[in-house]
Amino acid sequence: MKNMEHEAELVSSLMDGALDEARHDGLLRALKQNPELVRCWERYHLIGDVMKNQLPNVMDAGFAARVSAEIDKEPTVFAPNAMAVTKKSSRSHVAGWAVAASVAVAAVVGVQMMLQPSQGGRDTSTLASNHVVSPGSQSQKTVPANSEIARVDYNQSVNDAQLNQYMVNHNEYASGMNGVLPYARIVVSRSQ
Amino acid sequence: MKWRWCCAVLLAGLPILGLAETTSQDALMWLTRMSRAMQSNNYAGNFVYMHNGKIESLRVRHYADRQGEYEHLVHLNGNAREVIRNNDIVTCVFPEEGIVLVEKRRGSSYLPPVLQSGNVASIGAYYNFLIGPEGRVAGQLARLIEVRPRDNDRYGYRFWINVRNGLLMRSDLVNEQGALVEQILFTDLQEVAPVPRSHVRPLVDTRNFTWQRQDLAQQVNQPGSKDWVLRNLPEGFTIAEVNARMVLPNNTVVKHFVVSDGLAAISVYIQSADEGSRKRMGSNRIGGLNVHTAITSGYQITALGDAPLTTVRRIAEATQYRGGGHD
Repeated sequence: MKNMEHEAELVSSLMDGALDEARHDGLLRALKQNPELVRCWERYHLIGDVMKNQLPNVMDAGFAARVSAEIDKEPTVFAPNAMAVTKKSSRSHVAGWAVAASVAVAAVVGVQMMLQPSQGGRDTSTLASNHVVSPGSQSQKTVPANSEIARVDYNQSVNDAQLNQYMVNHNEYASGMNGVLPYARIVVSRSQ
Repeated sequence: MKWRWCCAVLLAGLPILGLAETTSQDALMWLTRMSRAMQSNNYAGNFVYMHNGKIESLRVRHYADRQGEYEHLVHLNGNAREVIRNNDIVTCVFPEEGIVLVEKRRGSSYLPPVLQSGNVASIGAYYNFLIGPEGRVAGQLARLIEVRPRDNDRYGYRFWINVRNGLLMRSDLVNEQGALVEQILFTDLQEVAPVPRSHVRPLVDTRNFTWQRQDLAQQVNQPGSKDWVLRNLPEGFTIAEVNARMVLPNNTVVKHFVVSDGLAAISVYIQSADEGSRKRMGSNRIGGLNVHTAITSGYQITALGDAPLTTVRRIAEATQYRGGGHD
């Protein structure tokens, strides 16, 4: 489990171009062997697209799987041994993308539904389910993506919720003697 | 003769000193046990939360597995606000606002660091630790542990701890006049079998809500913290933490200081004043949490914490800009 989290972090770094090149091969091998990690890779890309507002109107969650299946049918011609030297140019594309693994968690909550085939509530995506709440599963594999994006609106004014933000943040630090049930207050507070 | 008298006083005094020390340590052991039980036990219960003369009714379910803790807190009346915590990820659902806040929480103990280290002596100047009698709460036997402030600058705490399993049955927050500020009182609390993590999810459909994530990872090392100085803090309070600045989802940059006497923690949030700042000026209270917002040098200063309003206000007003004008 810990390992999976670690690898997910590596995936995030790789996508950011921040992963040490010496570790590329190992991670790519892990990606080959671990379908869970592949899903993680997909999620991160999807989240990246959401954050960059580059999501198409309709998401096809089965796309990668179909491509893989097609590739599997192809004979292997050659396997490149060395990665092309990639320029680390697009790093500033999304501020803080290096922390995708954590920043993205919020988005994952929503995105997860798109990627998750109907499982009757069973949570197969361990990475996400470890950290976040799964709001429910979606039965269609193809869903209109725009209706999902609404939840990841980073430009929304949060002035009304400012005190809530402060309180939530404060609870991290003030797990003092009152911290036994620190979130009781958040649950009952009225925003100003 | 005089010398012998002195010796007698000394000898008589030693056991009393020793006893006081033991009492503090024993009280601390109770608190540590409570902290552990609240983290590692599986339990479900209902409690009332009393604050500002209001009574709220809440339900908590808490589980622990090899990966850590997860819990669900739900407001049982009115709008079903809820908080779900998965290890250090805290998800707060505000149905009336249509907002979901996701936060990373730090630390895992319910006890403040000063108590985790068992260092009662360092806060002994400001608090007494006492063991009270046993009593009955929600039909179960509980032991009272009291943390009593020595002056009016801080609140006191009373905990009733389940003798059998260490769970907290009742918690009082007491103000400088000895009046109850806030109370958590379980009406029912049972140890239960755990449910899978995936079963702990919001009650409401949050799909069309606005999700806001405030991420610690977004906090970068903070230039500009030297631009601020906290002068004349109430006695015993020092700056416990200067946090990397955080960026709210609307891109507002906020500086954050934590001021503490070892038990109580008061946060100070500093951001550029905006059109809403004037409306926020002044004092506010949520449960035991006092909030005071001031404006100085074009900045909005919000102090909030579990301490008397005078203390919180003094801390807000102690926060002064002395910077060179750049971040």
